[in-house]
Amino acid sequence: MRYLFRLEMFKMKKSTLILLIFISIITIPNFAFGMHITEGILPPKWAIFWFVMIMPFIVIGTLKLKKNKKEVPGFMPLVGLVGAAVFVFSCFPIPVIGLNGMATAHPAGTGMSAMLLGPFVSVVIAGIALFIQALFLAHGGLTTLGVNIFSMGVLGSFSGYFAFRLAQRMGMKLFWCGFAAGVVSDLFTYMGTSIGLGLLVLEGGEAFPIAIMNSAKAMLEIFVVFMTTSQGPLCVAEGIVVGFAISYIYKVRPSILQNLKVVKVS
Amino acid sequence: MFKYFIILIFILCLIPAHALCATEANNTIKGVEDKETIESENGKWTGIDVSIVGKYAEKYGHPPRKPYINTDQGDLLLFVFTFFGLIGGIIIGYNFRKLFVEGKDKRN
Repeated sequence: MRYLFRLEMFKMKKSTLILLIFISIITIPNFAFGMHITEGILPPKWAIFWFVMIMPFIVIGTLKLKKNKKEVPGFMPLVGLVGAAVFVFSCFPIPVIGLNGMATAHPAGTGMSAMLLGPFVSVVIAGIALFIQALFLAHGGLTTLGVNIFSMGVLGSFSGYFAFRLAQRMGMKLFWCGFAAGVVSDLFTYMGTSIGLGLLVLEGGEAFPIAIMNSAKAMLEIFVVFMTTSQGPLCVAEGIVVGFAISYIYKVRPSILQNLKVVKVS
Repeated sequence: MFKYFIILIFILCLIPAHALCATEANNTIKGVEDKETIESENGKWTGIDVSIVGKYAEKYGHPPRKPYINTDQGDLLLFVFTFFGLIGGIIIGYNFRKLFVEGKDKRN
């Protein structure tokens, strides 16, 4: 029975399956608002701009993923584990009492994935997570996928990775290295969202230098609002989770961290 | 793996939204007011992505539009969140066991 199912279903070409998905997507009625930068907020030129910006990271990330799959033992289970964790983290509304009262905010999770798998692979993981969220969870959007991948994937991953490496060079304990990666990646993710929104001010039709100034002001304002509401306390919480995660992996299976060149195990 | 993923997406796309909703607008009982049972009070526990991003996007003249696939209908959103949460949990659990239980390093 199982054999027959595989035989019949998988005889279909990938292109046919993709076409079926596309048809079903465009024939389904659509309403609802989501999270991250929501559908429709970006004008087409900005949507294209952000897609162009993230493409090199996605391509390099995919190549690195293929390379590490062959070379590093235990890499794919770790990708599965971390990928699912990033997906769950980034659509998990955590209740936080912020300065403006009760609100929910979600962590990014890309600090952890960048620290373990490298920043490029982390961009690919964030891209897949955000794509599924945009398709099915009314969370983000397809036209805003580029800017969301840029903020959570590119900025979140690279900032988290470099924060981790810097903390290591400073001789900090592994927990605090992970903590730094979690906090910094969360901060940069929301900075990326602020940049994406702040650039919309350039659409105002003012003179270029004034538009730039207004745009920078808007970015700063949005970032401060994010941090002073709920994201401030949440990024500390994310840092603690990432710190404990890396400490646990080091305790239980240090060989993985050694193979991935995350730490040197004596 | 890719094929399984595509088939999963296709099945989910074809699930009619109304089939998963608990109530329908026209299916009301006489004398009973059709009312939401759970209401959020004055936007309490609203996601900051919605409140802040939406607010600023409107301020700059680019309000959010409705997404291409509407899962925010009745219990459908709850279903997809639970479904993907479950799938995510299974993947995490399976790989966790593979990596840290079965593959635990022996220090001696």
